[in-house]
Amino acid sequence: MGSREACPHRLKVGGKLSRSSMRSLPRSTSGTTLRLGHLRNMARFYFHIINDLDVPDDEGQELANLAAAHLRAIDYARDLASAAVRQGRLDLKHRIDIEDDTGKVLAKVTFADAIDVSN
Amino acid sequence: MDHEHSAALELFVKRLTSRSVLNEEEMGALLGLNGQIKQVAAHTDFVQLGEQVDHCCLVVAGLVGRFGQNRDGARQITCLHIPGDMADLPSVVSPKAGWALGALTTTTVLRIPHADLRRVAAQHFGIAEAFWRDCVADGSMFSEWVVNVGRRSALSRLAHLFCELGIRCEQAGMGDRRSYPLPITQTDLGDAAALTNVHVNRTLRQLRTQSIVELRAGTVTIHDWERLVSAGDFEEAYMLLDGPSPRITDAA
Repeated sequence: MGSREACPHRLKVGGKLSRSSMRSLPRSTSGTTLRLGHLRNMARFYFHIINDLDVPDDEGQELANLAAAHLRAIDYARDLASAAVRQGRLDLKHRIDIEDDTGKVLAKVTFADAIDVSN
Repeated sequence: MDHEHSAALELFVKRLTSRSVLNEEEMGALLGLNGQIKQVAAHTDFVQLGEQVDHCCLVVAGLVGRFGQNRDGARQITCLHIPGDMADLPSVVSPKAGWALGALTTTTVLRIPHADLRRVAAQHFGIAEAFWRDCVADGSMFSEWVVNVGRRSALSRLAHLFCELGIRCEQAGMGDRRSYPLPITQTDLGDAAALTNVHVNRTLRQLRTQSIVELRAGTVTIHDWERLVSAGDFEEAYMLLDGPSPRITDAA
């Protein structure tokens, strides 16, 4: 993991997976939403939204590990926070809960965790 | 020629004749096209970006996404192809793929050689014109897609997409516009509507609780077509389905 890798609970800049981890993937199989199907030991993670509207994730996604899921959740938190800001509101306590397929909560990422707010 | 093969060609002819006039001979030539059936697993790309292709892929069953992607691997689906769509008809005249094609669910395609499509088009001007007009329709839907992802809210984008696909499935004889199959994951729906997975999930939830539309177990059920149309800012004209156009040779 390079020095640019995020501290799991607070990211300053950049929330994407680093370029070095992208280089190993053949271009034709990449996707958003990385198509990591060729890696072994993939696990399924569920990203539940705990928001003004609670929205459980019924589908989940296969990702390499919890760290990858965590980075994904940070990206999602920022995305949902942006959507809320466009409607003129923001609650930094809203969050994404990452669960495994037994329903165990592996991590929680609040909007506050994902965004550096200064004033 | 087996049942799957001929059924797919019939659907393709049905799509063409919704916008173009074809005579018996021309329809016969299209229904007689050779092809090779190929199964594609879900989430597998079968045409790569920049690949030089020598055949087109007629969708027989399943769902295909045409997409581009940026250098970070983020994917944008620019068109969804349902059974009866010739997913890459433009490649007949432009064989180096400017986009990629991927199966969004377990999919069956009929690979038809460019040489055969060129032959029937060269022998029958009506077929060439129908192909041309099919590409125009594709382009028209694509430009509306850009408006959709460029300027509409998340809710409107998905509502618009459900309206368009409803009409296309109805035209293809797959259900009717209020209830049709759509075997797509939320991730792929997100790649189509330029939304994250969670945003799609949240938006679908809103559409469901408002009793407008729901997507469950690969089926779209529209409870209130009028409200969906309104939510999606949807106007059908861009789909160019107001009856087959007169043949160029007749009008000239």
